[in-house]
Amino acid sequence: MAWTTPKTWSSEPLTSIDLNTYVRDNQNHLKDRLDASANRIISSGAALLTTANAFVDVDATKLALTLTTHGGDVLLGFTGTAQNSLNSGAVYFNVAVDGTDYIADEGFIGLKGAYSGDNNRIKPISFVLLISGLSAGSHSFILRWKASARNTASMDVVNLHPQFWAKEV
Amino acid sequence: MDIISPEVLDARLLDEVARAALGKATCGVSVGSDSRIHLLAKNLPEQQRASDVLMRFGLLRLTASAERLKAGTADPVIRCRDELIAADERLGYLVLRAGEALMKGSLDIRNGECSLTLPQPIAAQYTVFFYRNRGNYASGALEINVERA
Repeated sequence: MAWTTPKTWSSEPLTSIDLNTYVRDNQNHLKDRLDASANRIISSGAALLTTANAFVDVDATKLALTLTTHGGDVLLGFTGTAQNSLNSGAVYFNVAVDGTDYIADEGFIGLKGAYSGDNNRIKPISFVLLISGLSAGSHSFILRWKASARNTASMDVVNLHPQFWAKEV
Repeated sequence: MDIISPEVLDARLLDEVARAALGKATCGVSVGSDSRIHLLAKNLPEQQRASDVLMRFGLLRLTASAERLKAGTADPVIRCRDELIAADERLGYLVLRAGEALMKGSLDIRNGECSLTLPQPIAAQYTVFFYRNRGNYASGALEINVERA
């Protein structure tokens, strides 16, 4: 249901055609957008690990979302954890939107170790990201990550259960 | 593109042999519900090498003079004598101590056998990993548990 710019009435008769177009259909459009969401929680499986130095999918199935939108922006959210195997190791996060990394360089959030003993500690990763400029239709969103050189980044999904979600706004 | 094995392998060890086999053609590996070698481009020879790495992971047979010992006793010697390395001259190795890289390099193969001595181990778990850096990239690992004296 597409959005139609509301009509400004003056003195013409109120017709059922106009009411359906400008009131019913637009309300349906707004409600469809509010209802559009996708959500994943990993509740089982082995810990996720990567040594990749370029962005790769964290889990191409369990942390991947498909959302059919109505032309609005999309909010993406994630709550989970990550850790580095090296004291000075780093892990960076990104999101692939329809198969393309949304942010360049090191992505938009990450963890970097700073001192001896800083490795193998579970640390929180949480973000909300606004994805704008999407056309109406089906879109894919996949959480991606990469590790610094010689570092192994990992995400606990055994005892802690990350959530990845998308909602049209 | 990813080359995938359904087996859940050790990410650190798989990364070592994958980078030896593929160099800059790979950006690393990931392990979760399966194991993946990430290739930066589609290339049939590299895809085959990555597939060899995954299919022959864990195939090399390693033995140790002792797999459980106390610190301060004789240094354990890890050997590989396997027909897969009979025609090779060198074998790559990586030693992890409590999951962190301790030493790495390559070993000479003499008469179809190579060995590595773990020098003065302290109380910890060691993972010793040998891998072919040519041919079919077969690899194998063995764990040594060292307890306090």
